[in-house]
Amino acid sequence: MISPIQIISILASIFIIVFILSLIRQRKLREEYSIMWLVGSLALILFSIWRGLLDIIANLVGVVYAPAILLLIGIFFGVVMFLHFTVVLSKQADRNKSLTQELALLRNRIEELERSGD
Amino acid sequence: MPKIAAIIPAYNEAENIGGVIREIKEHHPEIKIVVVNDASTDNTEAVVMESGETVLTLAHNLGIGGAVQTGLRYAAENDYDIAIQVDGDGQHIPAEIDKLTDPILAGDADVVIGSRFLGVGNFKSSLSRKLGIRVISLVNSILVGSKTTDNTSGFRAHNKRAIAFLSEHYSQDYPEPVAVIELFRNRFRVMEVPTRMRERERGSSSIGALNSIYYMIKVIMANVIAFSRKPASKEDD
Repeated sequence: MISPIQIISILASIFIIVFILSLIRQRKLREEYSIMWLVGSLALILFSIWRGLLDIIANLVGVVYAPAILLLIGIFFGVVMFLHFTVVLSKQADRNKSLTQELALLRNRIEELERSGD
Repeated sequence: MPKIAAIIPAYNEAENIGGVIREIKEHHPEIKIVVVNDASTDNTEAVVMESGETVLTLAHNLGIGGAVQTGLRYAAENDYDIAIQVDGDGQHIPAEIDKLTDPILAGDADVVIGSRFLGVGNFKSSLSRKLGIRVISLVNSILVGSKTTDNTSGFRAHNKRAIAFLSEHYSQDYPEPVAVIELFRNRFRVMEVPTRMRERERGSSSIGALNSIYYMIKVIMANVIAFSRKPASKEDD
């Protein structure tokens, strides 16, 4: 028997996947950063369809209140995402620094060439 | 005749930079002066331009590490034999540049650091700041297994090999102490010589007394992490 909440969560999960895919198609989200989101939303669909999965996992790790597992997975997913972002951000900052330096060096070279050309 | 460049990182030093340039010219007219203007909001760039020296203006503020590295990249690209780093605020004494370059010219060192705590100490600062510098240097000494008394000093000279290395690997945050560690880890010969230091002429230092302890902890962390890194040459293999 499918409950209303199950239908809602399945629909919501499908909506998230479609939204992410459309962002990638419009080139607003790069593939390399979208993998985590897609994996996350696929997990959401899995949990929505197969309700027993949560109980199985809860039993396995010895958690009495099964929905707490969901919360734990959610928080873990969020933390991993944040870490991923800061790694990406650091890489960007490094490239940015390198470009800023290159720009200053090139500008100086142009100015010197102009001066010697006069 | 070796090609020597003086790299001067400057952020809002319009009041001091002219004097620093004049003093270097006075003692060492043969040295090429390269000011790295770290996106100053005052007219630092105009002051340097007026003096006729080279100025590399960064499009946005990179901090001391990024600024010094720009100068080192300039020195590497233009084939300089020695690159000296001199602060833009007039703290360092250009008459003492020879002390830094002599060991390099003699082939005794790859990098020479002017220490405020060796011998002729006239360095005046708050107790907390002095203590902070001391503790940082002590941690550094333990890590590299060699005594360094003043690894936060920004008065230093680098030979060609060190210029090439540092222009590729230079830390953004706390560059001075981290560079010492990375130089040691990559088997560069780092030497300290005693130098004097003036009180800041105008403006304020980048480290306030209150932030000393916080700064110290951050630098020590950065040092330990830098130490745990593999030497760069091995990474490249």
